[in-house]
Amino acid sequence: MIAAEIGYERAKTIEEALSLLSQDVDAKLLSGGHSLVPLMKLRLAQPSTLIDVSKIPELRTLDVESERITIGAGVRYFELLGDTRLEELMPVIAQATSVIADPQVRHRGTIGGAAVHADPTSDLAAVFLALEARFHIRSAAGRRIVPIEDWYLAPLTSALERDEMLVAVEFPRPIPRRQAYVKFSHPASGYALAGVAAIMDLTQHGLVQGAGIAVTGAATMPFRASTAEAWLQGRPLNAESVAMAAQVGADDGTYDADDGQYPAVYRKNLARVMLARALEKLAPQ
Amino acid sequence: MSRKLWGENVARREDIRLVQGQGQFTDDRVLPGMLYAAILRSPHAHAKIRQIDVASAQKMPGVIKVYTGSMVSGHLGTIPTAWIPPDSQLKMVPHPPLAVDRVRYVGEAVALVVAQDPYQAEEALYRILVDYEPLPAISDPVQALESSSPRLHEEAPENVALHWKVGTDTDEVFSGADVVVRQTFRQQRLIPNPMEPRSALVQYNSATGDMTAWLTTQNPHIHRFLMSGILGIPEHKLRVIAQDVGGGFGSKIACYADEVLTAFAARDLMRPVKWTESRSEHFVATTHGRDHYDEVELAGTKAGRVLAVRVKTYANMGAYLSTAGPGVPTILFGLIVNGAYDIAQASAEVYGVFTNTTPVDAYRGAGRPEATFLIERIMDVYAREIGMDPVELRRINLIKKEQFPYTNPFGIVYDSGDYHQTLDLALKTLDYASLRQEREALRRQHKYMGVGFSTYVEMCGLGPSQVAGAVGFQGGLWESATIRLHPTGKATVLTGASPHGQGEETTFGQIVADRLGIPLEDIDVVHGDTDRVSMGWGTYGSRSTAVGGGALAKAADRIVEKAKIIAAHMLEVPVGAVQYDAGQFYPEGSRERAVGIQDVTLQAHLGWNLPEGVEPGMEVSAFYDPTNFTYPFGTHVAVVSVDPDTGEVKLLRYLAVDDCGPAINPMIVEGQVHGGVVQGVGQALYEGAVYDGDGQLVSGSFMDYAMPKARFFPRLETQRTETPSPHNPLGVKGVGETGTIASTPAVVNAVMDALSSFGVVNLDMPLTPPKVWQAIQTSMAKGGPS
Repeated sequence: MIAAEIGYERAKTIEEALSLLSQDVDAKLLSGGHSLVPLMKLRLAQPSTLIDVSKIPELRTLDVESERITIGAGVRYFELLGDTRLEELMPVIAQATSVIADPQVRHRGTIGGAAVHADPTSDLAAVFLALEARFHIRSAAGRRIVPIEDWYLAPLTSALERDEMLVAVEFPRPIPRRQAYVKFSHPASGYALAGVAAIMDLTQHGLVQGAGIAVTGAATMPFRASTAEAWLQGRPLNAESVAMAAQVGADDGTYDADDGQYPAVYRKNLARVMLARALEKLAPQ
Repeated sequence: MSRKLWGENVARREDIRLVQGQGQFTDDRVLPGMLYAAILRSPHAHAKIRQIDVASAQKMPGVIKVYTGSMVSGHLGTIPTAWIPPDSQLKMVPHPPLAVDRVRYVGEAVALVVAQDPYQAEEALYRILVDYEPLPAISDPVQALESSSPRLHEEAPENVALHWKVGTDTDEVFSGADVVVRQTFRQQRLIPNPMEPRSALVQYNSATGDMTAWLTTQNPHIHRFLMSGILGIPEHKLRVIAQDVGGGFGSKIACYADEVLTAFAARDLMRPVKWTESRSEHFVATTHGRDHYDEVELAGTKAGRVLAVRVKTYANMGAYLSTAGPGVPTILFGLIVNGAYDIAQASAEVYGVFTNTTPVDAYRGAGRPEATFLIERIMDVYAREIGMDPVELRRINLIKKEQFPYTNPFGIVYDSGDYHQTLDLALKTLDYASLRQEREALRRQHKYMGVGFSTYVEMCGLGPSQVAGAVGFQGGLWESATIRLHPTGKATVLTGASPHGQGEETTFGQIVADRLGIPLEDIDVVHGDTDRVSMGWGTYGSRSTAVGGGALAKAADRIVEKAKIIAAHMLEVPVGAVQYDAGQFYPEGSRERAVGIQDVTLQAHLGWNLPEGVEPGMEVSAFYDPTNFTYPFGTHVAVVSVDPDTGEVKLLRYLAVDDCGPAINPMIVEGQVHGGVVQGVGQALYEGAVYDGDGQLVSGSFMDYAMPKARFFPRLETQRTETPSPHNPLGVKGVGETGTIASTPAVVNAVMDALSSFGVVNLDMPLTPPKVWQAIQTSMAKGGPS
């Protein structure tokens, strides 16, 4: 389990990283390394050069004061947990981040790595979907912003092109007050067998307003439970509406991932159960 | 005799070096001029090797030499089996260290690369071209017996490695019994996963012919014995060292091809060579555990009296017979299938089967967890059949205090016990009556709680040697101890046990400190070095304290005996008039005149004025062979909840009431119970090796293979009773495996109790959420809970 020989460059700026990336088609960006390095050890990934972007200050910014919340792609999970402003405005990020793997991983892994690796069982995938994240991308040729609906192309494939770099994840405001992330973990890997992020406001009459609900882990791809969101709009949040929303929400996923131990029928049930549990957490006590 | 340290929670002395990163594990060692080995392993479960091309690997940077099977086969013996159960029709099949023309499991060694650094060695593996002709593979032991299944070995035309029967004729009892219950159980394959993977570092001196091998072994002297034969190195020229070993759980008993190959390369190249297994290699190349299909039948009365039990087992041996492999599903399993119950008739029939899988050997408990699981599970099935509380059923059938020593239907003599006492203590601790009430109340709210029991006994503390011989173990099971008192009165204690996490450097220190009245800090316990310790049989089968401790007590008593003669001379009184207590010798009634054992030792070393006929020096060795195994027992109780929506099982409480005789260090005993319980619960709920139809290990990493984790557990509750064993001078019984042996059925019984209203009687382990959920769904489809 030793990676093949590789080149290593440490970039000091985004521009330098992008320039290096444009010169070598087999180069890969390295930040936390918690997805890439294991793949390299298994020789499932064999980049020619690793361009280390972990020391680029611009990628480590956490901007929660301005109009929108923008998180640098190199911000590590534990830094997301430690920011009180962020925790106050978007507790769902802290809730999801706090159950990623273990403390060692949380001190290395980055929000940008989670986004570009596009693991279909990633906890943050549900958060990105529910909060309608926007991905700020740069390349030697320019900049673009990819909305969440265009981000996940296939398992382990995001919209990021080979010569591009994710520099930040943006969450548009306003953010609903009620937020929850619930997770059912795989007993071995700790990844989500089903993770649900849900956000919404309730009107003064207790009616659902602007729900964002998404599921990770259970289906082939992380998905937004749009049918559940639409169904809940303007309805009170009670046992019946939760059960119905969970039912229709689970139907929004495609469950062809059958790994034997966790058959699709079970995964879909788990999506439904965890949807219900996330919504129950948002209901008025 | 005053016993200052016996029974005290002395902090583990070995932990200081371990937590400071100063342990000396095999892979920590670096020798001048050392080379690194890497092993190419078969990616096929079954294939012919047409050709191996090493030319391009040989040219890789840093590569010193590449070895294949044909290059080493004339120079090395085969990997032996050291346990041949009598009347088992055991098929000895050759197991070459490197495959020559055929591979039989994924992970089998095919080539060895030695290079200047480990990166170069691994890189070269990718350049070795092996032309395989894949053959059909079989991984399931029952399917392997079908005539259409692929065959592994010419010597075993039906894939049967062994066929062994034991016990009494039970047919008559079964045909006349009021109640007969039958159940088939699957005890899945487990992958040991100690923290430290295996490693070997070998140095050879071509001038003297001396070889030193640092190995991750639980039994360095057994390794020396076996490897000297395989390598053709005289035993006195081979030194095996295993100073710090990071856990074994049975997986470091076996003599492995990897170790032999590393030694071979070191001798061939005349350079030190190191090989260290990666975790991924560990999954396929280190022995696995369990893997049974069992058919169990129990005959009894309607009133709950068990009359007979019989077991038919198909045990997966893997592709080759590992060192102790054949003894595990036979001797260590079949002879105790009646468990802790007074059952007049019992029998066991075992087929050991070759399959295209990693060889199976001992794994914590080794045979006894499998036996305990069967009897404890079938007791619950029986209880449900006759409508009796499983606790009441156990109370009726447990061997009674006055029946000891108790001879079981296989002629095994259980030493001592008060089984009912542990059951009563468990019930009292838990408040069982209110637990049952709570369970009923929750059930009315469609919440499912279950309580499961395991009133186990096991046989451990392996010796005596006479029994080892009778059951076909190709070695002795006694233990040695040497106590060397230096002129300043400091002590070096050498033991043939080879602890690798069990804390005997501390407990053995406690034994000697008490017996000799020497402070603990003046005592060092040395183990795991065949040049320092003359002989020993190692650590497995919960034997170290029962047998190694016995040897130590004997040696200490001999030291006192000799010191007493010298003390009498110093005190100028007859030997018969000298009293001894806690390191002090004094004339009867005159304690103020006492001379200390450390002063006596100085005189013994100086030799200026010794009594006539007394040799100078103060060193004694003892070889102790116990009279029988020891039989720890107890009651374990699991309380679980089952979430009907997800199928998730949560352990709410876990209580272990154990009796391992007197505890020398209760904290260490408790630690052993904790670790054991967690491993047993791992089997019940989480772990399980999965092979696909092609014989590929699907669960080959921690991404798929679920080890138990701290967050899965509540605070474990432990209690003890103390019934000394008459089988050794300390009265102690083994405790290293009890937790694993007892906990698996306790947890499964608890889950089945929780699922009882769904009509579920049995599910195969591990009881994963989808499996439990599916069982509930099936029940719901038939109308739901009763």
